[in-house]
Amino acid sequence: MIRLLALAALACLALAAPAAAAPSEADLEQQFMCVECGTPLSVSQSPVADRERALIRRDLAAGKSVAEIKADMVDAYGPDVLAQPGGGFDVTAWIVPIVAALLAAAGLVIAARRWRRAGAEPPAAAAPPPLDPADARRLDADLAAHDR
Amino acid sequence: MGERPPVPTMELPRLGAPGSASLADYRGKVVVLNVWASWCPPCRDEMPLLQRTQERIVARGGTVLGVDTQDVTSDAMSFLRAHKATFPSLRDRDRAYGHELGVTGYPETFVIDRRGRVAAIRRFPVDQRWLDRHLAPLLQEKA
Repeated sequence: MIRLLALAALACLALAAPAAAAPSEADLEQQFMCVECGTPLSVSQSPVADRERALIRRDLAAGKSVAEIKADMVDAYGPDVLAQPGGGFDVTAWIVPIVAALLAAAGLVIAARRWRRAGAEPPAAAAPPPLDPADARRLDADLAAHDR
Repeated sequence: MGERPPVPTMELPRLGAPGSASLADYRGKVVVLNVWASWCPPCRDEMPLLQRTQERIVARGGTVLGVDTQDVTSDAMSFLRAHKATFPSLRDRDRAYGHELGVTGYPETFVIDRRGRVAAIRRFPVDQRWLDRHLAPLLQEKA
């Protein structure tokens, strides 16, 4: 039983190992922007891009995690250095358009259903107001004259 | 010199020192505001002249004030040490202040009078003649 548990623990460790592997410099470059040129760091050749890469290399050599490297990059260059929104207000930049699109789609569906219902069952015409007794008598007399 | 617009002030962290400061703290001084970065080669070229200027004007109520832009602090400190630059600098890590100033390239230098107004702007490296032309009259003005 103990041997089985030990084997299971080893299997878990083996599965977890790839996730914990250190990222490569090339992988990390995909996650940052060149702050001076506004292009992805991986394709930028400007002097500031070289300094950004140097910081990434230093951090990797120091064994820092991706989160720590991102924190160092933001501390040096500001949040615009991140290729993807990181959190807080930036997350709303992703969420708001999606929510707005969903709400618009829901609104269209509801409106289409109402229009379809309105087309199938036209609203009943409102009943005219009752005739005044004098008008009714005159109408009867006119109709009787036409019948003659 | 024509009309002097007020220089934008923004509280920024001090480079290599605790706390923060803004141009408002330098009211009463003539300020040579130099926007630089350690990754900018032309900034390197003008550092010795800026340091000499600091030594020349500090006793006359003037100072050079650096604005280090989008830079790693340790890189920026090494850069200043390598050029024996002793004038103070502030950190504009995300270029927010640079945007307010209307900076278009590096380096860029603003000469600010004692009342916090921009008297001259120089895009790209300064030279002695330009500094002399703009600094001398301002240093004679009273606050």
